[in-house]
Order: sequence, then C-alpha cells, then structure tokens
Amino acid sequence: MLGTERDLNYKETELCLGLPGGGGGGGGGGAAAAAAAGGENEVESSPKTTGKRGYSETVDLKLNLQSKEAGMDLNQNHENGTKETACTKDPAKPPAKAQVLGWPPVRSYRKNIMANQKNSSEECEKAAFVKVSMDGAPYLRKVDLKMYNSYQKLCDALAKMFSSFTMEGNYGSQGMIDFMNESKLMDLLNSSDYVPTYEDKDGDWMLVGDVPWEMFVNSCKRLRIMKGSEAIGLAPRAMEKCKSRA
Amino acid sequence: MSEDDERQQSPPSDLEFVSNKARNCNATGSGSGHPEFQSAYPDQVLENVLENVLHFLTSKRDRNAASLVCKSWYRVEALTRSELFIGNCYAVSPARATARFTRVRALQLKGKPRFADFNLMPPDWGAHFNPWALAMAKAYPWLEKVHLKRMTVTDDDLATLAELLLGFKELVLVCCDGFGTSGLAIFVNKCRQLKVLDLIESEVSDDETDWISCFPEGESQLESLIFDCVECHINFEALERLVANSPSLKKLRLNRYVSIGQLYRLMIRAPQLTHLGTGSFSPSEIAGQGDQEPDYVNAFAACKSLVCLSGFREIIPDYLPAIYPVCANLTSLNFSYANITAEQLKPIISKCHKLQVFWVLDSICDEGLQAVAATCKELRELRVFPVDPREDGDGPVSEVGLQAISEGCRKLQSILYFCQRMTNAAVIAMSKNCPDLVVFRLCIMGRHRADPVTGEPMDDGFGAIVMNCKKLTRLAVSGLLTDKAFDYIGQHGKLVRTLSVAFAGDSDMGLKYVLEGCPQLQKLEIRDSPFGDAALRSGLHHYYNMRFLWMSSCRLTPNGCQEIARAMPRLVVEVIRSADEEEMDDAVEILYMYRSLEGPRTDLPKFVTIL
Repeated sequence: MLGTERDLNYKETELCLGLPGGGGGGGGGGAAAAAAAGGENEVESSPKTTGKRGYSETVDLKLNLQSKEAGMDLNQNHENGTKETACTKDPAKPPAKAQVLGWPPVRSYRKNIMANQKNSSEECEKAAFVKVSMDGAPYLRKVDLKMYNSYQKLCDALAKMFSSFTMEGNYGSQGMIDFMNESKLMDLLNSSDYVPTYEDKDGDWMLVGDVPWEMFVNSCKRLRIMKGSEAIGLAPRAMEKCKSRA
Repeated sequence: MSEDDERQQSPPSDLEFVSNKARNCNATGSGSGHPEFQSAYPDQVLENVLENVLHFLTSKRDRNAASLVCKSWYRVEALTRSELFIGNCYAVSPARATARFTRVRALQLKGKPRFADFNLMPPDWGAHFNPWALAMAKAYPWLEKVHLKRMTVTDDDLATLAELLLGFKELVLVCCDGFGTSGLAIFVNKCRQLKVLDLIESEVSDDETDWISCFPEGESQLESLIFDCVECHINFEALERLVANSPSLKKLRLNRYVSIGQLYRLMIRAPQLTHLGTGSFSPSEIAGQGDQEPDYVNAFAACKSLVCLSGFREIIPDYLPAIYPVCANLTSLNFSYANITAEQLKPIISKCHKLQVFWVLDSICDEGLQAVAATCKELRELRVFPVDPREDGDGPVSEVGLQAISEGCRKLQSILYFCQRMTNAAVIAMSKNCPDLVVFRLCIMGRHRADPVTGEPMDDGFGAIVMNCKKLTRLAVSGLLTDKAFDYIGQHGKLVRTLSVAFAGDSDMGLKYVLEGCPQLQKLEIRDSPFGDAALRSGLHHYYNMRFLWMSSCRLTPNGCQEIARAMPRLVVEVIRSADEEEMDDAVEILYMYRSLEGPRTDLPKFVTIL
C-alpha cells in the first residue's frame, strides 16, 4: 500500500538508527532521532534493542564484513557481536521491522518505566563477578556469585580456590552463620582460621552470612578472606544481633 | 408584598413566589426593551430567578444551551457559572474568558492534542499555563480549583497560584510538564488551605528540593495527595508526619521510591484511606537487618474503606498476598506497572467480585484475562497495556483474551486493548456481548495487520462495533483497514465524538465517509493514512463543530490546507514540521486545526506556521 511505502521513506529516516556497525547506536542514534522529531525524549526502546532492530535486516549481508572489520573501535565490535548473536538465535524470524516514531501509541512515561523495570531484571540475569582477596595470597581471584545458590556452596568454592588455607564456616541449615550462639561465634573469630568478609553497597565491611543469600548477592561488592582474629572488628555488629535476638 | 421584599428573601421561597409572578407577567425571557414592562423590575426579578435556578445547573452542556436562549440568560448564566471548562486552551483567550465569566471558582483547561504524548509533535509547541495563571490571579482571587491536562506549567506559575490565590484548595495536573520539585515546594508551602494535590502522569524535574518537608506544620486539611509520577526520592519522615497530621486524607498515591516497609508505616497511620497507590511494593535495597517483616496483611485489613488500589511499581510478587483482605471491596485495581503472570494474578482477581475498573499488563496473558472474565462480573473498564511496546514483540494476549472478556464481563463500557493479533470474530463477539460499550480502543500493534485466521482486513470487526454498540462515543481503530471500515463508521457511528485512526484506509473516501457521516464528531486524530486535500474539503461543513482535527503523515499539501484556512476564518490552521526542517515543502507533515475566537496565537514556535 502506498501508505506503507511512504512510511518507510519517512520513518526510516526519522528513526534513531545509528552508524552502520551500530557503534553508539543509542547515543548517536538518539541524537538523530531527537533532531528528526525535535524531541528530547528517547525515541523507542533502549539503545540495545534499537541497535538490534535497525540492523538485523542488513546484518545478514554484513556478517562477513563485520568479522573483517576487526580494526574498528571496540564499541562497534561489541555491538556487532550482539547483533550477530541476535541473528543466530532467531534465524527463523524475519528481519525485525524498524520501529516507527510514536507507534504503538504508548506514552513515553509508561515506556520509560517499563524499560527501567526491564533493565533492572536484566541486570539480575547478568553475572555477578566480585573480586576475592585473601590475606597473604599473592593475587586476587574473581567469582561469579550467581553461580552459587547458598553460602555453603560459595565457601566450598572459595576453599578450593585458596586451597592452601582452611576455612571455617559455621553455616547452619539455612546457610547463614549461626549467630544465636555467642560463644561459637567468638570461638570462630578468635581462631586463626580464616573467615570470609565482604564489602556491601554502602561501603561497609560485613561478615559473610549476615543476610539471606539473595540479598547478599545483590549487595556484595567484593570479598575478602581474612584471619578470624582480624575479623573481630566486624564482630560487634554480629554481637549486637546476637543480643537483640536473645 | 412589594417586589423589593421579594428580591431580598432567601432563594427557595423567593423562587416559588416569584416564578409564578414571572409567568403571569408574560415574561418571554427577552432582555431589555420590552414595551409591556414599564420598569426594570421584571427584568431584575427574572434575572434573580434565573440566577437562583441556574445555580443548580452543573452540566456544562446544559449551561451552554441556557446561555443561548437570549441575552438575559446569557448574562445570568455567565454570572452563575462557577466551573469553567475550556477544552482547548487556544480556543479562547484568558482575557475573553475572564471578561465573560466573572465568578469562576474552578478552572479546567486542556492544552496539547493527545498525539503529542507519543512524541509526534516537537516539544515547546505551546499550551503554556502562564497567561492563564496571571489572568486568573487577577480576575478570580477566590479561585479554588485548577485542573490542567497536557499543559506546560512552570515553577513560577505554581508560585503564582499559591501566592495570589488565598483560598486555593485543589490542584490537579494530568500529563503536564515544565515544573519541578522546587515549584512544588513553594506551592505546598504557601497554600495553607490545600486539600488536593494530584500529579498524574506528569513530568516533574528533580531540582533536589525536599518538597514534602515544605508542607506547613501542624494539622492539615489534605484529602488527596497523588505523586506516583514524581521520579525522585522524597523525605519519608516528613511524609510520615504529614500523613499523621492529615486526618481527612482519603487518597494517597506514593511514588516508586517508597518501599513496602515505608508503605506499612503510612498505612497504619491512615487506615481511613479509600484510594492507595502502594509505591514500589518491594523492600528497600538496604539489607534486611534480620528484623521481622511487618504484618502487611494486617495493615491492609485495617483499611476497611479501601476501594481503589494502584502502584506496584517494582513489585516483588511474594508480597501480593498482603492485599487479599481488601480485594472483596475493591472497585478499582491498577496493576499496569506490575509485570505479573496469570498464576500470580489468579488468587487476587478471584477475590475481586466488585471490581469495576481494571488496568493490567499483558504479562497475565489470555489465561489471566480468562480469570478476570470468570470473576469480575461488574467490570466496566478494562485496560490491557503491553509489557513490550514494540510492533513485532511477543503477543501474550490475543483474540482469545478479548473473547473471554466479552463473554464474562457483559457490563463492559470501556476497553483499551493492546495486542499483536486479533480476529474479526472476537471483535464481533464483543460488539454483541457488550452492548453498553461507550469506549472501544483496540490497538493491534503490528501495522496493517490482517485477521490472522481469515486473512481479511479488520473492517467487519470495527463495523460490528459501530453497528451494535449504540452508545459508542469513542473509537480507536487499528490493523488492516480499507475504506469500508470508515464507511461503516460514517453510517453507524452517529454518536462517535472521538475517533483515532492510524495506518488505515485506502483513499480520500475513507475520511469523507467519516466527516460526512458522523455529526457528533468532536476530536479526530489521524496519522499515516492516505487521506488528502479532497478529503479535507469534505469536512468544511463540520469543522466549526469540532474541537480539533489532527492529521499527520497523510497526503495533505500546503495548498489544500490553505484552502480550508481561507474558507473558515474562525479556524486556526497550524502546519507543524519537525523541529529541524526548514520551510514548508510540498507535503504537510502535521496539520493541527481547531476553532478559536482569537485567531492565530501569539506564542508560536519556529516550527509552526499558521495559514
């Protein structure tokens, strides 16, 4: 239909389609869209999606080229990578249509909120790598917290990683340090065994095992395995909890 | 009894006595200069009567009709109109409005056309509240209520309202922008009589001002505080104090920066709430200190008057059971920001027998809609929004869901349904099962999509809607549509006032059918459809009866639009182009035209030309 053709002519040029290769598809494209629409609002979906959408039609042709364009800057290569993945994942789907300005008629307000929600849930799916340092060890390691579903599993993995040292973990049935027993805790902390500690989002150093596992994964920024005696400094908080529960 | 006395008596008895007299005097209601009346008395008596009577007239349509009877009625009606509604802020100037209506207590203004919400219009097009704010402050110092939709309101405007209108009670801003938290801070601080502050789907800039703390100390008359669209952190302690000091508070809608723990604290202070927006409905990120979770179920159970529930902005579905106690009483439930599954919905919706208004995301799938249909027999309004608002995204809801709703919710009056696929059969079924439909808005997200089962256009489905739903006043069409669909609308859509068209039709005939066939048409918004100058001409007889016509990416030329402008002097014909385009070329990108008493507006941005 003529109407459709006209659309493609108009709307293709109005869209936030970034440079070929998709480098800065969101940013550069966004600017283009803003110029076209005169609006400061982001046009449709997040840059990631826009990148996929805009070039899936052309990616089939460009696959060979892209792999040759190794010399291009890292951003572009990264974008190419995601687009290729997208293609190979859904070979049966026809190339996605470019999104048309203002269609479907969902208010930007709502679109932004849904996009934010999506981003936060997507972040949850990504890996959660944190650095692990051990006092006395010559180098750091990294672990992906998402690979484990309990403290016990994490500590086992850490123990394997730093196998020359023993790790004492009083992890009860719920996978959390048994804070109910004050004397047990003090024994642990007074020993020369090592205990795992972590830095949380607020920048505080905490004993691993304080909080439910999920919450720990979301708030842990880095791990440090230190001598029990050094961890005493962290103990007061733990002791407070003990007392408040007693 | 002299007539002097009559005038001074209190309205009711005055009314009975004098109206008889008025009838005996053969008053036809015409104004001055009647030879039978020797003095001004009967006119004054009549005006007195009218004033008393017209005070009872609230509907604006009735008032408009009354004002047309004669000059006397016009005058008295103008004196007694306390609520002024202006559907297009450019149709009349503040000066003219304040000159005619001198005793206005409440003002309602609408600005930008609806398609501006979808980024189809460059920003800074207009609809500034400022000239109105200044005019109101001068003309109506007793003004109590302002209700704005799609207007640009600045911090200064808020300050004007707060500082110059001493008894100001109610501010409602829907889809507005241009102001920030610092404007709010001044406003709430200076409005000592404030009862209602409703910010709905508006863009509020974060000036990092703690506006909640700026409410005056001590007991407040606040009845409604809605700020779920405000995308910035708020001072929770100040909010808690405010809620504690507001015994009349009935409506509270929190933004997503309020955690469920904080919600709890507010709810136990305000069990009298009737409308609640829950905020994020998830715990704050600060790691739980091993504290006991509050008894959320109890908090909801204590709110025995709760009828309207919304929010759930960052929902953790585990907490959903907390709302079970209020489900049986709910008449309105807004889950449209809650990405939940059918399984998560079912235990809730199965308890919501009284539900009349339900907004939800399509994440609940057809199965979720079937659950709604099974329980919500009183449903009047349903809105199903897409989680993934893209043309070719996944389609979790379809004709199956629509069919189910039509069979279960026979009292349905209003529906907005986003989907990826729809059949004529389901739409026809709805037209027959739900004869009370007043609003039918179907958005098949794929452009030009035909009926997936028959391969036919969607003409018959929408045709059935206009044929069978005799009360229909608002219609939005989508999918593959030929001129036939518009023929149906023109023939049967006699009550249609608002029509939204996108990517539809074959030729000028489509638009002609509608313009010639729909006498009640007020608001017509069309995009990306092949309607040209000839079609535009066919509406000349009707444009003065309409609030506006919007046509974007159609087949209009500057000459065609110029013709209309010449033929209709009281019509403002705006041609809007994208902000960076130069002069008008051969095609008109956006046509926006509306009747106006004022002629071309003076606040035109560069990208708008008035023909």
